[in-house]
Amino acid sequence: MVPATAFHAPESVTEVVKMADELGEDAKLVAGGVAVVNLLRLGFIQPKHLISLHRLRELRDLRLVSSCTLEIGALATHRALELSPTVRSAAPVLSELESTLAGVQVRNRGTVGGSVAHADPRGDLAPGLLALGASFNIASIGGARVLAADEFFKGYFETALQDGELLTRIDVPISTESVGTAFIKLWARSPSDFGVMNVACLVEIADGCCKRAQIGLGGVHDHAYRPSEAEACLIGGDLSEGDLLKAADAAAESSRPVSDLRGSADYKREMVRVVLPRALRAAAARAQEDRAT
Amino acid sequence: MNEPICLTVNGEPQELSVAGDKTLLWVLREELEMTGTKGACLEGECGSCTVLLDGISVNACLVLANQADGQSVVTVEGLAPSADQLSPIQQAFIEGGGFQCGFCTAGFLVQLTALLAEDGSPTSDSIRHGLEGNLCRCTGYLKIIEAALAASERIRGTV
Repeated sequence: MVPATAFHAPESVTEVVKMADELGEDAKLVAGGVAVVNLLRLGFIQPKHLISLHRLRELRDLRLVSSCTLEIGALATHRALELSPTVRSAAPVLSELESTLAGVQVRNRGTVGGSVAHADPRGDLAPGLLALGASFNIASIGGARVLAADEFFKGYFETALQDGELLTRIDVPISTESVGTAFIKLWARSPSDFGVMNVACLVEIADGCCKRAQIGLGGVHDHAYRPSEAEACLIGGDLSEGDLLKAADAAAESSRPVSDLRGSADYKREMVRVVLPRALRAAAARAQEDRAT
Repeated sequence: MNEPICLTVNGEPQELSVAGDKTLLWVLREELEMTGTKGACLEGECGSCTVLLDGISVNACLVLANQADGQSVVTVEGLAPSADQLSPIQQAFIEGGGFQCGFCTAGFLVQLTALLAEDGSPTSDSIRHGLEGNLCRCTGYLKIIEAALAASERIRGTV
């Protein structure tokens, strides 16, 4: 008989990383459980130990620091991010994408950290965090390290997190002036479902010139990523239709979608060409509005 | 076996010892034999297993029982204020025919209890958005939404 799975509920980050280090690959960290409980049920993982993070209350905070960084505790729920007035004003694209991330019950339970550590390539949060240029704070018994969003997502349900590491906080740089953001999920069945593909973007416009373009693409590769060639097509230009279409072509070229029940690989690649310019136009319009106010 | 946990289920304290991988849904149905809460998809898509955990609606199929230690759980069995009185939402479902086969009903009732507590003056659109995580395979959504609106009016005392 397989022994019952042991359950641990340490009360501090220090205790968690110590325990995770000692138990190594016999242990699985669990935050809200939305991903981990599904993996357990399907038999995809059979850990001897579950290390629950639910007592780490300090990792639930959402706060704006010096009006320039939004700190998102890894255990903040999707619902907290969706409804927080701080998030809505500092990083509206996150509230926007959260409002259609699964149903309310999942958003009430699922956490930001759990979601990004699970790294479902179709997830909505990763493109948003990539576009915002977020950084990921990681603790372990050996000390802390910080990774940029585009170093964090590595492959199919795979991140840069190693055994014994704990994602503690995500920092989002906040830019208020002349910046516009947008998120579009192209959905097949209902808006709360995983999308066919999704895209988040941020553009900064000064004197009619695109100073910054950051794009996060989801659902069209084995992980969410920033199509850097597409971003390069936009920077220094005036976000003309020609530039947007060049960027869309470059992004479609960089994509490696697979066919599944939500669409064929060809369809998804074509949709990158269609949806990315829409998102960029929306972001550019918001950047202009912002300058007007 | 793991340390015992303490749950308050519909006001009753319950002490149990549960393996680490067991869910709250499993505890409710198999250990406590409270079968009002239904399990259908078991993956957080359908909302049939919705319960309130410290007042917040969650899918009991995705909550590890041990994580709920010390928390209060309200299931469909705990919605009625007394043995001879239903909650306004339950009453509105009966009067408006807000169910067909009934399998999803417990989840809808609990989710609507949370939604109407958060927003006492919902619109048809806000109810639809709030019920995105509840599926009715009989597709009887319209009467469910009508019942929810009727219940909200009753709670506000406008009917």
